[in-house]
Amino acid sequence: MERSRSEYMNPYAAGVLLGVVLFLSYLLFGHGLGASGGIAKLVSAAVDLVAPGHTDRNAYLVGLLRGSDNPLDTWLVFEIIGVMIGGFASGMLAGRVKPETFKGPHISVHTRWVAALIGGTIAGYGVRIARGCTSSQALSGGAVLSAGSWAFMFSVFGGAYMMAYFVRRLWR
Amino acid sequence: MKWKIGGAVFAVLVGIGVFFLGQPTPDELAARMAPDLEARLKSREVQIDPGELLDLIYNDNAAVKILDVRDEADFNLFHIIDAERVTMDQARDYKWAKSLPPNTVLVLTSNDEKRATLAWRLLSARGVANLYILEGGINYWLDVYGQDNDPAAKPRPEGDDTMRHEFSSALGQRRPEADPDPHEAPHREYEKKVKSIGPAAKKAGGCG
Amino acid sequence: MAPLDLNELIGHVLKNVMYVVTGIGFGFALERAGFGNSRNLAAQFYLRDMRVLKVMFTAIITAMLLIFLSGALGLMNVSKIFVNPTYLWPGIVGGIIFGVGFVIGGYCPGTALVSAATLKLDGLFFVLGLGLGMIAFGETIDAYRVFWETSGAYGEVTLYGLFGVDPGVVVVGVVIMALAMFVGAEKIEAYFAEREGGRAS
Repeated sequence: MERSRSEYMNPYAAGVLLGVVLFLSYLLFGHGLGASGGIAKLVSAAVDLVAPGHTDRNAYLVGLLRGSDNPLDTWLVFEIIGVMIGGFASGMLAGRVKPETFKGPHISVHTRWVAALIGGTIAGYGVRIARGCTSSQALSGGAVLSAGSWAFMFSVFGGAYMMAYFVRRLWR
Repeated sequence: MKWKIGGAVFAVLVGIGVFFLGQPTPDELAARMAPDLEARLKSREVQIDPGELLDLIYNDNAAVKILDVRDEADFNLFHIIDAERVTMDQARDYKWAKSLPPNTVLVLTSNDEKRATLAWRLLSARGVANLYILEGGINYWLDVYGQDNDPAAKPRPEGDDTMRHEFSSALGQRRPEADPDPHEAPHREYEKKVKSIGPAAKKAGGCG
Repeated sequence: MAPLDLNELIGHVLKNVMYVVTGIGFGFALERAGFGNSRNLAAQFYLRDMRVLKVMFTAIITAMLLIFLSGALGLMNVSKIFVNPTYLWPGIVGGIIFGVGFVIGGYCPGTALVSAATLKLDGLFFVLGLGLGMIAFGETIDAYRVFWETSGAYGEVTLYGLFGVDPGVVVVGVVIMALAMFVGAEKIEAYFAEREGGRAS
């Protein structure tokens, strides 16, 4: 079900809003925003809960847990809690909070769920290799002009555009 | 449409403004950060005793790097073991400051404290963490660990930063005083000032 | 001078509250822009709706201008803020892989959280997928750890450091580039809107 574009905020205005929040983050905390990092911390905490010995042997996950007694006590986790609250609040104001599945017109809901799961898995893997996602690398790193972040940003667009043709059935 | 054009023009103007204003130079940055930096220097919380430096060097759990900001001639006459000579130009260089190893205790030293303190201000303004000054500098180190060690010696922070000890030849660190044996050297009581290692003002932000 | 030492100013607990508040602002802006809806995000890659590009680059230049302006005015110490270290090849390879996942799944981590928060099931599945992908990374990273940790690991490299120019030059350059992209994006959208007889944004 397509929504009329005009019911969303003007993208430039939304961009300014986002940019101001991003700036305030640097002003207050000395660093930018993040999203995947928070999820990564939760994942490593969950894995540690389910299989404690495993994390010790898995050097990468250990890197995330070490340096703090509690992996959940890190700014990223608090921030993504805020992200969900903010998203929910905006959705409530606009009457957009209701269970549904967004999908292209020619596939079923179940196909979409599978695609979301697969896409998320691939994205999650890529995000760890790149050490960041659109929030932390593209937006934050981009704003402070980190060369690696700009390279990442263009690679994301490149990868997505290249793949778009092959998965057009999902969306069109 | 008007908003878009207005916004675009505004953005370009601000960009040009940023370009013309320019970012502060290291000395300017140091001057602006002066109040909090001066407070820390005055309270002597970043000047460490030679005893503490020696213990750090021999501590397996701590990585230490001595940054010697003296002239080449003084450095060649004597320097502490594994010290690295650093020029003031380097201390002002953004790239060099960023290349310093993280999670390492960095100790600046000059003959007394003058030049080391200046370098400390410049580097701290750049956000270099775990940065300290050797109290009393090389002069005091040699008072304490030298051949004619003087138990009553005191560090002289206001000293004129010239070498007070004389050496007949430039042996650099190839002298016993450069690498005192912690078991044989005179035991020192000192106030521990080095804080546990970690990224200081710079948080590891981001999803890495 | 910013950045502030919040632990000292307001203490640990309040600082965490500030993080939540910042996140709220972030999530709110994302949802306002319509990014809780995967179709809006995916449309970017079919050139129908260039919203992602507009929001992203407007946000980047807004923050960039504010950051470097406050640096120039002495309100913020820009050399003290976190600049993502450059790991060139992992960034490119990871970026491409992430891009593939983005267009298949229709979200990125931040937008997926917003989507899940508004009860969208596809957003929820995407978040679950993220978790699986991250675990998979943890299991497989040892096979190419050296690449991941050292390839193109240049440390903190800024665009202005790279070109040896004053930050202001790059700032102006990025603003101009972004504005050119916006003009191009609007033209592309208009072209397709006309072709398909739909509404322009």
